[in-house]
This record gives sequence, C-alpha cells and structure tokens, in this order.
Amino acid sequence: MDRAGAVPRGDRLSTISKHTYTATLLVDDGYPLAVQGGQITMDEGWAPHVQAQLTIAMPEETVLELLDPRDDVRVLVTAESEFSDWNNQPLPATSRSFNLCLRSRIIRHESAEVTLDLASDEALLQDDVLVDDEPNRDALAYQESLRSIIDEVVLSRIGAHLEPGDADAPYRVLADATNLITNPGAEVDLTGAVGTGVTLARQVGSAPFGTAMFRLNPTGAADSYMEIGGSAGALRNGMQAGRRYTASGTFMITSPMTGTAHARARRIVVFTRVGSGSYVETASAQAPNVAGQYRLSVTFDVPVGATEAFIRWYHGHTASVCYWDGLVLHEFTNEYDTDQWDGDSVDTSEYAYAWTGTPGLSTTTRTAVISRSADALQWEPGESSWSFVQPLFQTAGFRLFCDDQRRWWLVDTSYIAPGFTQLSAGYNVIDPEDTISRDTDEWYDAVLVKYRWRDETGAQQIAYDQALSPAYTKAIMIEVERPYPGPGAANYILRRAAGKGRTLDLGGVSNYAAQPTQPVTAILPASPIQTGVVASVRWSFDDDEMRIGTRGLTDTPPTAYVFGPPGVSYLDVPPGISYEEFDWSVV
Amino acid sequence: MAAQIIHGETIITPRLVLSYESSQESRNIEHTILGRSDPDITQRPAGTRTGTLELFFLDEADAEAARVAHTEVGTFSLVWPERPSTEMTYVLGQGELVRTLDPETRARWIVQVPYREVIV
Repeated sequence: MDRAGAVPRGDRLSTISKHTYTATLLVDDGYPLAVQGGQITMDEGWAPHVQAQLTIAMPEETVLELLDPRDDVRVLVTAESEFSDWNNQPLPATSRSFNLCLRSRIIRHESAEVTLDLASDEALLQDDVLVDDEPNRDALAYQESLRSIIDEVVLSRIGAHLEPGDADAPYRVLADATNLITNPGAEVDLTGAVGTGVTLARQVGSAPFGTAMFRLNPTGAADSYMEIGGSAGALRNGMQAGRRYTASGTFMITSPMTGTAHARARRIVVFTRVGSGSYVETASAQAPNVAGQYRLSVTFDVPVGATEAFIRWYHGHTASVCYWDGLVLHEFTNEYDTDQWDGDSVDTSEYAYAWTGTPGLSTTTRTAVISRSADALQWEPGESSWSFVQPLFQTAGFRLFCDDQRRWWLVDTSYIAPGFTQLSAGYNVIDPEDTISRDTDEWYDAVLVKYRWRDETGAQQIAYDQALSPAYTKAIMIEVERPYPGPGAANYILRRAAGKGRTLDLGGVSNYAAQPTQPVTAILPASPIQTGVVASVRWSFDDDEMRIGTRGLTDTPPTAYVFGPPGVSYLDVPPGISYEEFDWSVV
Repeated sequence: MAAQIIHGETIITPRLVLSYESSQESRNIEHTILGRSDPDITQRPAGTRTGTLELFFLDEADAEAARVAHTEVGTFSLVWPERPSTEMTYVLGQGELVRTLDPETRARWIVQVPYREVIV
C-alpha cells in the first residue's frame, strides 16, 4: 500500500527531504515557468476540486502574452519530494502533477512577479453556459443512467468522459398520467376492440406483457387494423381537443409478414379532424418486417376545435398474423415516456398503478410516488452545465469531480481513495489542531427521519422514523422523499454518528501521496487514536508543508487490526487467538 | 596581477580591493514536530554568494567610470588571479552602490558594490 508518512516504529531521527516544484505552460512544446511559491489545495467539498495559486518570476514577453486566461490555457504543475534519513539513505520519493486550467493572472510589475490562479476542469463546466433560445432536453434520452447523462450530455461538450466505475443510478423523470385505453392487452376478453379487415382473437401465452395479447388475422384487405374504444365520428378514448397525447404499443410478429403491404402497415396511426375538414393523419415509425417485438410510439396534437380523434393499431398486410399488446394512450409528458404500463404493473418506488374500474377492462392511473418532474432533466438557457448536473448527482448521493490528472470520476459515498496517511506526535505531525463542536452537523445523539411521499391517490403522506440516545441533547432531522420503508434508517444513522463530531487540522512535511478521501490515522498526545478520512490537503510551496483536514473521525483502540501491517487482514489471525494478542510482525 | 572587473567591453581595474566578504543564505526549512526534540528538515539549495566589494581608485575618473558601469544592465565578471576562489560572475545586488571620497587623502576614491553572484 502506498503510505503517506510511514508507520512509527522505534526511535526515529530527523527526516530530511528535498522538494522540487516545476510549472510548465502547456502551449506548443511547453514553456517552463519559474515557480517562486504558492499553494495547491485538493478538497473533496470544493468545485473545482483542485485549486492553486502560484507565484512565478516574470517570464519573457512572448510567454507572458501566452498566459492569457481568456484562451484555453493549461499549466502543468509538478511537486516532488525526495526523502532521506539522517544517514542519507533514500526513502521512497513521492510526487504529484497537476494539470490545471488558467483562471486568472496578475502581473505585479514592481516585484516582477506573476500570480496565477489555476483550477481543475470543473471550472470548464462552470463556464459552459447554455446559450440557446430553448432548453436542452438531451438528458431525457438517458434517464436509465446518471453516468450516461454526465458522459453524453455534459462531459462530451468539453471532450471529456467519466473513468470506469460502479456508481450509477437511473434518474427517471416522473409524471402522473392516465392510460386512456380501456382494454390495453386483452388480458380478460376483447371488450371494446373492433377489427377492420382482420379477425380479432385473444392469444394466450408468449405475450410481451401479462398472459394475453391481441391477435390480428387478416381477411384480405391491406388497410386492416384494430380500434379500441371507438372509431371515426367522435373524440374517442376520452381525448380532448387542444391537448397533446402519446400513444404507444408493442407490435409483435413471429415471422416476416407476407402479402401486399399498405403504407400504414405495422404502425400506430392517429386520425384527427376539425368539423367537416379533412382527416389529419399522424403515424408512428414502422415496425421492421422481421420476427420480434417492437415498441412503437407516436405523439400527436388533437387540435383546438377538433371533433374527431381516434387511433388505429395497424396490421396492414393482406396475409400473415400480427399481435398487439401493452397499449398505452396518455397525455404527453415527455418524449421518452413510451413504456408499457397498466393497472397490473407492479408498484415501484417511483410509481403506483391502479385500475380505475374492472381490472383489465378500464383505464389506469399512474401516480408518481415522489416528485421528480421532467424539468429536472431540462437544461435551461443561461444555466451552466455544472449547475445543471450538480443537483442530479447530489440527489443520488454521488460526487462528481475531476482529479489532478484531468480524469473525471463519479463516486458514491463508499469511495475511498488509494493510499493511507498517518500522522503521529513524536514522528511527523506539525502543529495539529483538534476541534469538537456541537454546532456542526457532524455530531448528534438523536435522529429523526421524515419520509414524505404521495400515495397512489396523489395524497401527501408523511411518516417519521426516530432513534434516540438516552438523555439526548442534539437531534438532527433528515428529510427523505420516498415512501416509508419501515423503521431502521434512523437507528443506522445514529450508530454511524457514534464517535464523530471531531475534526483535526494536521500539519506535516509535504507528502504528495496524501489526497482527499484517503483513510487517515492521527496519533496525538492525550487522545485516543483517531481514524477517519482526509477531507482536504493543502500543499504550501513556500514552506514545504501540507495541512490536512479530516472528517468522519472515530476513536480507535490501538489494538485494532487496522494498525497491523499493510495488506494484512483480520483473517490472517489463526482461529483461537485474539487479534489483540497476535504478533503481527510474523505475518 | 591586480583584480579586474569585466563588463562587456568595459574593464574596471581598481588599484586595490580593500575588502571582500561573501555570505550565502541557507534556505533549508526546519519543521517543528510535535513531541520530538529534533526537527524535520526540508532542504533547498543555498543562495549564491552575496556581499559587498570595496574597490579603491586612485583618481576620480576611474572611480566614476566604475560607478557608471555598475549602473548598467548586465553581468560583471570578477577576475582576480591572486585570489582565485573569489572569482565569479555577478550582478548588482540588493542594497546601495556607494562612492566615497577618501576622507584622509581627499584625493582617492572608494566604491562599494553590493553584489549577487549569478550562475550563467
């Protein structure tokens, strides 16, 4: 394991190190810049994640002109430390290079210095404001994966992409709707369905949804179709003039259809008419004439003043059988809301479904359990891509950041950076500060979780889950927009808070293996050993020192197996021996 | 052979170098470690030599020429075969370039040059 600071063992003498800092302006073949001082900070709570201020000696005029933050200028900063002990024996060197974009530059003519502000690539997203006259709705196409929203909609604009990782979640926009089709899948019988040029039947088995589907067997005419809930002559299926609707359905064939094909074959075709005017026809895409199941959809407007609107589920061949199932007609929500659902759909953490009447033979309501409107995936003009995407990954409990190597990471709360930092009194810690505060959210001894959701009738519901320590003095409330899953979460959160509420600000000689979200152990006088996570690291080039901020510290007994040699686990202790008594040096 | 200072085509030849001293700044940093008597050290290269050259001139014109030459941009080379360890290239360092009329003779001149060695 890569350790920042080594394990204190035995008597140690002065560690002697040499620190080298370089900076290169990444234009053409690169221009070296003379670093005089400055500092670089990596903070997991910051966007941009890496920020630096550098002071350089005034370069020659051509280089000075190139240092223009209005252009896309990058600077590579490297910091390297070579360690040796008192006997000039080398210890492992550490180094880190930071590829950062230039945000500002100030020339101080009196002292002939230039001050540079540098930042990691989040700054590029913060600059990337949508300039358009309508919102960007591209993200709606990637509702199944937050990673793909970030990759395809946001990062592709700056030519970047996410590093591989497991952290992902769907981000589906939710909308209440009613499926107006009164017989969406022939699950019960053929009520309401009328065939023209086809003989209708129920086909039981092999259906895409449920157990049955409509079977359309042609009688000879190519203009052959099925209608449900009425044909020409009126506004059908409860459609209303002046509204926009989406119709979708699954078309299925088991072998290519033969005979003569009509132009409307293998489509959903919608007809609307205003008064005695001509029929306006809107059709879905055509299903391929290849065995398989195809989800088709069509979004259409019923014009103001319309007197007729009806839908035909087309067969369209003079021969061969086809099937329709999973028919849905609802008011338009967004262009990707074309999946099948009816009252038999299983309720999820997102939607509740209910038949409004006889199961299988009535309309269906779909109620969003949590509120997540399509607006959330709509990138408004004037909004930067960072402020568009930030609420999305934060809702999912993720963190998006660009590291010092221009690599983008989407990580969840279980993410731990490689390496390990240990700072100990009598060994390597400089000027530590240890803070415990009641006034931060870090510490509490009572937890109240408030669940808020809407039930399938659309009514607002609230439930509480609580966990208390005896004689508690500080409570926190966490609001969750989700149906109440039963008690437990509050207790879990309370247990995780045990031992927290303490933050350390630790100094040390700069070590570039340290980085945020890395485990840290601090051994300080008159305190239990603290283990936690590095929240921030600031390296100062002026005095070769770093400062480490921590979070999530817990008191750790000195016999804890985590203090064993690196790479050794609890499982290495033979059965029957307490790990407190085990001699770790033999492993 | 006496000391000479070469600056481009100008050669300054003082009658005597009255005094020479060099000092070098240590730039090492000591880090005080909590609970330990010995500090950690980060080593940085020591500074180049810096100090003041005191040059003695017999007449006013030579002294003035030396003063004017040192106000010009560029580097100077100290060549002093009798004291080879002092030889260096330098620029005018921080501090003040001083020209003094010798108070005893009231005819001789002393020019004090603050220098900073440069590696070119």
